[in-house]
Amino acid sequence: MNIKAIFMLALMTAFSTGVNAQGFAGLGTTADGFKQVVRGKEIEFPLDYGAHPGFRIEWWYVTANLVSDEGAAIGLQWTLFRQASSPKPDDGNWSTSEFWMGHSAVTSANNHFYAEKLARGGSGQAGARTDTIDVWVDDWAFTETSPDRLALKAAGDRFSYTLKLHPTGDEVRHGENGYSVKSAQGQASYYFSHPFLEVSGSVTIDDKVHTVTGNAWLDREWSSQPLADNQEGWDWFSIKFDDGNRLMAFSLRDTNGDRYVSGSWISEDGSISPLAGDKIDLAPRAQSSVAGRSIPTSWRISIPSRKVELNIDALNPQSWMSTSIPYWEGPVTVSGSHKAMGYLEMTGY
Amino acid sequence: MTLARQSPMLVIATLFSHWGKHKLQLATLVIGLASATALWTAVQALNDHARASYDRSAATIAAFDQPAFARPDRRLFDDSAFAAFRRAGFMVTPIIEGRLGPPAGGLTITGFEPLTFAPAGETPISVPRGENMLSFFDAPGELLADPTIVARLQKLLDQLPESERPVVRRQENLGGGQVLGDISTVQRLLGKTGLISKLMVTEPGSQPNAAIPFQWQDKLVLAEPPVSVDLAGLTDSFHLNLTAFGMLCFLVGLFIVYSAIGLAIEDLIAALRTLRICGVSLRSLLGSLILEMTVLALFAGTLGILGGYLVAAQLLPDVSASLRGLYGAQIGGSLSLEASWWLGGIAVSLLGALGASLGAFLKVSRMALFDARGASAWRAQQTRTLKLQATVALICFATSSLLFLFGSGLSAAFIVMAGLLLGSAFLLPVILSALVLSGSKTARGPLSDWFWADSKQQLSGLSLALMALLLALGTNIGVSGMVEGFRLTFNEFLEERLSADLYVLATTNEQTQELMDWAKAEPAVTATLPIWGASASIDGHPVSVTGFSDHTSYRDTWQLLQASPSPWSETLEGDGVLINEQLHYRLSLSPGHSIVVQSETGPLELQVAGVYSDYGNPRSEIRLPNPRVAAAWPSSERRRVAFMTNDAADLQKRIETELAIPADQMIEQKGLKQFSQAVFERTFVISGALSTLTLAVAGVAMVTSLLTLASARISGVAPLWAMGVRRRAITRLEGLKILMLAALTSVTAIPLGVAITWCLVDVINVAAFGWRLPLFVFPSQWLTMGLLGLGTAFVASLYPLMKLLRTPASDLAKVFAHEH
Repeated sequence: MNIKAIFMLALMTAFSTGVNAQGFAGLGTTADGFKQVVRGKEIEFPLDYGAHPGFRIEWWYVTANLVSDEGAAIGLQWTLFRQASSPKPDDGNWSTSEFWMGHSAVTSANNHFYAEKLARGGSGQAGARTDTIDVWVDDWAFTETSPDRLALKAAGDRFSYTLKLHPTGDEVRHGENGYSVKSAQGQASYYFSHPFLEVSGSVTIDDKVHTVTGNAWLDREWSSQPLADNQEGWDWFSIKFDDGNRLMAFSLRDTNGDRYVSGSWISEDGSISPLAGDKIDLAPRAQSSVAGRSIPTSWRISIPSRKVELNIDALNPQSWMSTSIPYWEGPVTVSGSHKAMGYLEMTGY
Repeated sequence: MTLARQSPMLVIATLFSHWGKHKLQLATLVIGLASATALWTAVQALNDHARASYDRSAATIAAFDQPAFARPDRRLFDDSAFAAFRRAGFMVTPIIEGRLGPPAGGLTITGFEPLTFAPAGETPISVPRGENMLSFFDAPGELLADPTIVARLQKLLDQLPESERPVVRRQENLGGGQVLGDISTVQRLLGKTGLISKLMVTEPGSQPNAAIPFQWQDKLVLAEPPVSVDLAGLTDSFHLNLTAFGMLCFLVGLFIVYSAIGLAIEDLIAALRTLRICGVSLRSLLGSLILEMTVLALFAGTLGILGGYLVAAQLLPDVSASLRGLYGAQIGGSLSLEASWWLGGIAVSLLGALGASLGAFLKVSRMALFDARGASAWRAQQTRTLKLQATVALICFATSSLLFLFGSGLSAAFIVMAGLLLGSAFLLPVILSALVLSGSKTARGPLSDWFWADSKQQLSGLSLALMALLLALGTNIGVSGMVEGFRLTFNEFLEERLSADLYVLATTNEQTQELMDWAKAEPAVTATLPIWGASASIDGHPVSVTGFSDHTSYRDTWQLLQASPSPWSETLEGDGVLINEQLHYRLSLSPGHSIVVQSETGPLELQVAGVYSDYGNPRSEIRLPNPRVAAAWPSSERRRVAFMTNDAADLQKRIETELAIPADQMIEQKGLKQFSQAVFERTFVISGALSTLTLAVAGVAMVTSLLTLASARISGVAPLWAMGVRRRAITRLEGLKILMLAALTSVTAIPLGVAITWCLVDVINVAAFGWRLPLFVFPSQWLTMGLLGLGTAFVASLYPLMKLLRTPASDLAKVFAHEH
């Protein structure tokens, strides 16, 4: 799951009228009038890449581990959130039944640049088609240019990127065929990923253009009440092993200090095996001081059933997103039982 | 020795017991100090309040005055341009500006989009966040308003059905009479759904290299913000004016304090001498006096600050109205008592009290332990004092003259006036002394001899109060002379300037054309005079550009202050330009000079052909024929048209029905004159109010001085009484003496007042407002002021005279008890 996105919606909770926000960023707020997530719904492609009006929240989330022509590791993030303040459709004329928030970032071992965009529905400044990937906010865009080609672009004060994404495998549905449970109380979202995307393009940092190649991970998730009201933060990992396998794992922390842990093991051939909380162990190894906070930028991931013992370290421990709601997000290096690379997101610290 | 050791407490107790016995003295001291502090604080409060408002206003205006994409003709355009520009990478935010309600009495309203609105620098606009955001966005929405106009706004909104009425939120720090709302709310209120005025660039310098979106390429242009008017700079002169009056009031207040302390020391001197003989050191005595004065100053200062707040709150509406009328500056409606006032007020009170008591302290420090002065020593002393005063007066006049001849600027102008005032004040005792001396030559008989001789002796004691009266009367005569003169000039000026019968403001440039075409076929219209407008600069100095048509009403009625041989033909046919008096003074431009005006199409080289008077306009202005304005400023505003007609009311009605121009966008000559006159009446309301207050304070000074003298008077009149003159007759003589001195002072105040009027119209107004008024004198005002002066003296002398009348015979007899 790409729970990270949920947290972003904190800002948008503010837009929920007349309700007291519950849970982290209000994502545990009940969602009267909105469509509900139910078991057994069939996720369809490419239709479900498009927007889902009627649901309260959704996001398009791309992270990528890239290598520049000079051999340097570069991490990259592109995110767009849609939050509805009411179930009624967006009717244009500066309507505020929907709000949009975009985040983008470029991270190297020494630098971390990020940017944020906010927009309201009904102005055309941001939006999404409902049948395929075509989402934008200002001049940031994620678009399907041809049946197996996607284009991704964004720019901030000191960075910009233009990338082509080419699928080398199929999408995977998390949880029960895309029905992803987020708490012991049963809160859930629809959630699928595309973990097999080859990337090429250019990243400009401080006016220097880098040609890059690598792998990207796309998450699509939508819901109307994805969190329980006492869940306050999470740690989310996406790992791409050199042998072609993939791992997604998350841990949701609640106010009692309890955790809800879950994950998916994705084989090279695209088959997916859910990992229940007792099958996977996520443990912080070391803390860094980031933006006046103590944040675990080194982790150990253990999956005894698959003989996986991984040491996860942030490529740049200062990958702090000081956006409307601040959080940590950045590429990680992986050592231990397997060679890999990946992305880490940590919220609520 | 015991006494010496215990002295501090004992001395303080002695001093305070004095006040306990002389409550009236204490009251006058406190009133004097408190009123001086109050008037000073009031002026400071008004100035601070207004300046803070300007800063907020400037910040809000700056937030919306950024480079923006707009149509060259300033018309509204489709708001879909916003998304097109954003998607092309332009960091712009949509703004709609309009007028809510009628043009006269309506409010300027600005709609913005909070999520993309990121003005450069700090802004007082607090964009709603969190839960408040949705109610700000969603219909009926919310409006943020400067508290000064909340009531007006609410009244306008009350005309809407309740479900469409936005909630009005006061935003204290907004300033400038601003109303802001979400773009959708403002579009709806203005009836302009789907339209915007401009796309403001939020991150200048970070625009993409890409061209502007194709569909908007020929429609929108990037325009720099207009040259903003520096309100603080513009209104500086107004505030300096206030400060000068505040200072004058403060000085007059200190006269009271000075005489009250003088009186107290006079009464205390015997007790103080006794304390010294008992062994109290001079240091300890002076320390106690200073401590006592400090305590009194703190108390009076606190009263003064509260009083100042009340005075300021009372004057604020007039100050606001003046500033709005003169400069278009909106200032907030409610004052708050700020820490800086408390500190400033207390400091002023302390400094004033200690300064005023300096003389008394010196007297105590020089006090002989045994009084060996002869009774006639006063004469030698008085002669010395008069010489000194004459010298100081000469120095003041000399400084004043030098600055008038060689100084420049408003500060110099005020020093010229201050020199005039102080010089006259110091010269007053000299003049009065000379007048009394010549009066004494008319004396017939012993009582009359005594009258003149005693008047002369009393002069030194009364001179301070008389000085205060002189200053107050002089200022009053001066200010009212200027105001009256201004009224005359301004009315004449309005007659000359407002020669057309109906003034119309079209809604758009296109409508103006339609209006003028319509008027061509209209027999009732005898002349159509369009007035185009634009903004420009000369050497970085902002100027308004006003266009005019070639019509005899201009050539015949406009009296130019200075002109080249043929100003009108040079301006209409050549490269001549007419400039207003303000520009003439500010940039030292006269007919024959060349100027380079920055226009939209490039620099424009022009020759000054004439200077016209432009009373009340704070801005510099140039006038050119309309066609030249239109050519050099393609985006000039072409919405104002004046018509000459026999029946303005009928014409107005027909324009309203046939061209759908709202009645409130038209004004008849009469209405415009009334409006202009009202604005300018306001200009001097504050000067008038402060000069009246000064007179009141002078009255108090008079009472205090007379009280000071009252006890001394007993020994003065006792011999008279002993020789058989009845107390009633003595009291009458005393009253006559005071009235005579007040009358002489009033007469002296007349030339001073005329000099002040001259100083105001010829020096201060030129420096402050940029226009010179002709000097008028109003003898009827002098008479009124003279009577007012006499009345003040009469009222002030009532109590001391009553006291004298009721002095028991035993007290009068006691005077002789100690005679050797």
